[in-house]
This record gives sequence, C-alpha cells and structure tokens, in this order.
Amino acid sequence: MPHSDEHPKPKSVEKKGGVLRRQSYQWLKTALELRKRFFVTGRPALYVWAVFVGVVGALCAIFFEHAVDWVQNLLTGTDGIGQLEAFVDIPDWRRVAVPAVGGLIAGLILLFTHRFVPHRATEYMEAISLGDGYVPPKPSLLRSLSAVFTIGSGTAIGREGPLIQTAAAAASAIGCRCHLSAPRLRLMVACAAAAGMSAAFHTPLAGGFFICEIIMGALTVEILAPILVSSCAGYLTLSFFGEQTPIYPAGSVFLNTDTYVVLCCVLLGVIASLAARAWLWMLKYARAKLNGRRHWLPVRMALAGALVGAVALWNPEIVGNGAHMIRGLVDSHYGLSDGSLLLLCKVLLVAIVFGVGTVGGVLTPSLTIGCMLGFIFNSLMFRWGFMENQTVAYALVGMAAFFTTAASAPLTSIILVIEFTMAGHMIFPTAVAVLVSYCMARFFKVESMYHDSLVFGKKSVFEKPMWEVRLSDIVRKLPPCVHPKDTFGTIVSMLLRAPSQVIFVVNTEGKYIGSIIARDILEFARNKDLADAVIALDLVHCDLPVLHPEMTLPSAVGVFASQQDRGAESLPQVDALSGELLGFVNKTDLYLAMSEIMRREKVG
Amino acid sequence: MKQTPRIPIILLPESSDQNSTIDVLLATLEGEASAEVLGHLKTEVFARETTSSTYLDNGLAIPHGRIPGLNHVLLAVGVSAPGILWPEAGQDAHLIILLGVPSSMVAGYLVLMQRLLRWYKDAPAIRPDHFEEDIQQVRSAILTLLA
Repeated sequence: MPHSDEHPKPKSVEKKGGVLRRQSYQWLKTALELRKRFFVTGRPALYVWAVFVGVVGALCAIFFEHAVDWVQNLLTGTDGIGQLEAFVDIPDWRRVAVPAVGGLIAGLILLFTHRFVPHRATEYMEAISLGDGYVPPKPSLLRSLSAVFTIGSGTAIGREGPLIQTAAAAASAIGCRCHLSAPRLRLMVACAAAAGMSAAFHTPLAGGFFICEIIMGALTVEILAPILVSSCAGYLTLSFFGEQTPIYPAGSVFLNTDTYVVLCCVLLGVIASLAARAWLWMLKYARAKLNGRRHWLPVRMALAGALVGAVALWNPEIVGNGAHMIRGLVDSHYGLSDGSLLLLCKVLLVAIVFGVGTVGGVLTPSLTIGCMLGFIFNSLMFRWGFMENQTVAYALVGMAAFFTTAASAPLTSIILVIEFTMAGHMIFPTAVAVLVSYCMARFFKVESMYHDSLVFGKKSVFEKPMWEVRLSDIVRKLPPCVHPKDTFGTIVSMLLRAPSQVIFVVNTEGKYIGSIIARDILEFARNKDLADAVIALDLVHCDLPVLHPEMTLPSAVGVFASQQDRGAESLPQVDALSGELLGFVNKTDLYLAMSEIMRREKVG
Repeated sequence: MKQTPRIPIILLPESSDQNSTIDVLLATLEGEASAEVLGHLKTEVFARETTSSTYLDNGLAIPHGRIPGLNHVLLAVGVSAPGILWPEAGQDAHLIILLGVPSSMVAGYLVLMQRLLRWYKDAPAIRPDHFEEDIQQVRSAILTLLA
C-alpha cells in the first residue's frame, strides 16, 4: 500500500512461516465449518450428552457382564455356558468351593478398598438423589470388582446394583473431566444409570422410569426426556451386540380379566405387599445382625458363599440372582412343592448374603421372590379349586406387586415386568395388583429397599432451603480465560477446543477485566487477517454485570434476566474485595438448581 | 454501522514520532467528538498500544481504542513517506489509521478491521507528488469500507 517508490514495502516477517500458517488456517477453517454444522449448546447439548453417556453406560454394563462370565469360567473351569449349566456340570466339592472362594476374594477386595483407598464409596443413588453427581471412581470400581467375583461365583445376590454403579462411575468421571456443573453432572450420572439398567434388563423404558421414579423422584419432561434418550441409546448399543431380546419372554401369557380375576389380582396385591414388607424387614435384620467387624468380612462372605454352594448341592437353581428361577417359572418347570422350597431357600440365602455385607443388588432377587409368590398363590388357589391354572400370568402379577412395595415404584414395576416379558396383555391385571400394593405400602408407610441410599448420606446443595443456597454452591470452577494481549487466533482456537459461550479476560494476577461473548466473534473466526491484528482487549465487554459468591439464586436470576439480549449465557463470579475471577455461573445450571430445590421443597 | 461524516487524511510531518502522530491525528477529530471523548480515546489508544503493538504489516498501523459515550466510529488517517517508527514492533509505519470505536461495538469493529486489512493489501501507493489526488482515492475507498 501507500509507500512511495523510494521507500519500498517492507518484507513480511511472516514470509518464512507462510506455508505453515496457511496450513493451520486451513485446519481452523475446516474445524469451524464442522463446529458450525454440528455444535449445539444449551438444552440440545443435554440430549447429545445423554446419547453419549447412554452408550458409555451400556458399554460398561456389557463389560461388567463379560467380566462376570470370565470369573465364572475361571472359578468353575467351564467355558461359554450359563451359570446354572456350569453349576450342574461341576462336581459337588466345586459347587461348594466356588461361591466360597468367590466370596473370600470379594471380601478381601472390599477390605483392601477400605484400608487403602481414602475416598468413601458413594452409591450412585446417593450421588444422584442427595449429592452433586460425583461418584468417586476408585472405590466404586473396586467395589464393582468385588461384586464381579461375588456374582461370577454364583452367590445369591443381584448384579444390577454394581452394574449400574459402574456405568454411573464412568459417567461421573467423564463429566468431571469435562467440568460439568453439579446439576448437569447429576443428570448425566442419572442418564448413565438408566442406560445401565436398560442394558441389564433389555428394557429401555423401565430403565428410564427406574431412575426417575425411584431415585430422582420426578417424572417431569425436563428430567425424564434426557434420561429416556440415554436409556434408549443404551438399548440401541446393546443391539449392536445382538442382545436386545426380552430376558423373560412371555408374550403369549394372557389373563381373561373378568371381575373375579380382578379380585384375585387385588388379593395377590395385598399378599405381595405384606410379603414385601416382611422381606424388607428381613433384609434390615440380616444386615444389622450379620454385618459385624470389618476385618472378618472376607470370612463372612466366604461362609455365606459356602452356604449357597451347600444348598446348590440340592438344587443348583438357587445360585445367582434368581434369573434362572424366573425363566424356569415362565417356562413352567416347577411344581408347587419345588417352587415353595426354592422360594424359602432363596429368601434365606439372599438375606444372609446381603446381610454379611456383600456388594450386590437385591432387585432381581426381589423380582424372583415376587414371581415365586405369584406362582405359589395361583398353584394353591388352583389346587383348592378357586382359580384356573395360570401360574405364569400370576407369577408376573406377583412380581410386579411385590416389587412395587419393595421399591415404592408402581410405574417402574408395571413397565419393567411388561417390558422384559413383552406380555402386553398383562398390563391391566398387573396394574390392578400394583395399585393395591402401592396403596398398602403408603398406608403402612413402608420404607423401600433403597430408602437408606436415598435419605442418608452426605447432603448436597439441593437439600438446602432456597434461602440458604448461594452462588458459590453452584459455581463452575476453572473458567475459560485469556489475557488482554492474547490474539484473536488464540481465542478462536480455545473456542474450538472447549466450546464456550463466554470467555473471560483476566490480568496476570487473575483479576477480572471483562468477558468476550462467542456470538460476537465466531463468524469472523475464519479470517486469518484478524488472527494477529486483533487481541482480547479489543473484544472484551467490560460492562457486563458480575456475580458474587454470597448472592442468592433468585437475585442471580434477576441479573441474568437483565442481560437477555446480550447473549451472555454465563456470568463471572468475582470476589467482591479483590476482584479476582473465582469461576462462572451458567444460566441453565442456575435454572436447573432452582428447579430441583423448589421441587424438593414442594415434596418435602 | 453509522457512516462517519468526515475522514481527515493528513501528511504527517517528517519529525513525527508515534506519540506526536497519535496526538496530531486526534487533533484532526476535534469537530467530530467532544474533548472529553477525545481525551478518553487518547487514554485507550495508548493503553492498547502498551498492551500490544498496533503495527500490523507492510507499513500499516491501526492505533485504536474502544470507548463508551461514542455512537459512531471515529477515523483519521495519517501518511508518512519516510515512515514513523513504531517502537514495540521496531518497524516504520507509513499509513497510520487512528480508530475510535464505540465500546458496545464488537462485531462492527471486526467488520471494519477485516475490510481495512483486505483493502490495504491491494491499495495503490500514495505518491508524495500526487498527494491530494491519491488521498481522495483513499478517502473514497475508506468511505466505501465504512458504508
């Protein structure tokens, strides 16, 4: 440009690196195109995350199952056959030794975890319901490893609990790495748990409802929708491994729903609810009496395993979580006396195994007990001439009714049973029994088997009353920051690597100067001329309001409302005295936190 | 973006340095904004210069600042045949474009910078012996950029 001929144009200092610069701009241009096409923010981003953690959760569940199979093969010396078949094939001494050894190893792992891992293990239910979604990974994974040995050795305990815990721990780790806020992390962990449940039972709907109804206690669309997206993503992931068939297929089961049948279902609902109360009492009693000093845990678990093995000498179907018994019943393999004896043994063994401190779930054992109860109910009524022989149908009804009281989850019970049997014709009679069971549970104020996890434990911000919660409780740490002299190219690269709607400008002491709103600059991001010509100081908005740690949530909402047209989805949280940038508050997080706190205050 | 009504373009004295150049260019804007605004702009321009040099490339420097209380872009152009040393960059600037931008304007500022930089690449040289003629072309070009 405007130089006379006597003063030739100075050579560009960048000419030597010109080729490299063109290549890096080309990358930037491509990356920006992709980002423009595919990147989403706000609510839609939630669903993208839900799909992602759904896949992760399902993969964790599949990995857990394979690990259990591997341990089973290792301990039983068999390969590629089911647990029941393995226990049928092995000699008597091994039938006793396998659960005992499995219990011993599992107990040693738990002891090691307690001694050498500083963090306390957090149940996924506690993390979602009470906490901030954080599930410490090490103790969770070690406890899951313990459960792998317990379950793989055939001990009578459920696998769903540790399986879902593994999925939740994975989602928590990913969420923490991506610096998700507490409300988002909770939701992502809940999504992964739903996907794990969906993968365990091949039930996408029930997986989602289990988490929403039992753990989150909310069935609003805002919460249910992403959780269902995640559980469906988990189910779809399962289909890639060819495993999406119903686990207890009973599609042809049918009950002619006349008044008499309805009354029978009502009666079964009452019986199942009372039985579930007794079952819950037994679990509590067993845990109180049998779970003694921690250093004896491996011995207790080994003895409990040996007891399972000893009973398995009589009937190998007693091993495991009870899934064989449900299948056997659906396939009509049992007579009344066999079924009754199996039920009695199962109840006692699960209570003992659970009571000694074994890591595992009681979901499938509870379903098994309910199933056997329904079977016995119909068998007796048939023998006495009061009913037709429809054991499978009443087994399904009994299963749902029993689980309703055991878990305080009427909706989940119905959907779970219908979904994993595909017995659509059984919806009405099941619903009748479930409603009766639920009414009885509420009348007698029965605490579900998940009550302790949902009530006791370290409380999070969501348990506080609204007037006590401060912005410091929901602030996101590690805000995306630049210095005033950082170039436009640096800022754009940062936006690409970690997409954010706002970038904060701080001086060398960390004092807040202003905010750069991504919306202002992204359309210019491909312009290589601006990359070095413009710096952060040229783009900063110094007049955006700042938030302080001691502000309440409602006052912060007012501040955000006043900035609606500025496009600032996040505002800085600044120390009132020093002006130091402490973090930032995202508008969606704020609304999520307020919504959750208000919901809990209302339920109360 | 509101069009500026006047773009002063001056030939800078030979003895000018960076500071005096900026002062001279600010003086040409006296009719465009109040003294207070111009004083604020001076502070911001020097603060910007201290943070990072506004010398860009091939003899172009764009000292600028974003200030409140302004509702349109202020622009003044200085031309120096021998060049004005821009100390932080260690280069001589031959075309100096002083910009005052409203602090609320970010996207508009980026548009202007983008256009200025693109224009500068292909703009013809200003000849000292055809100064008046050449600056008319520059003024027309910049007015077009601002439109």
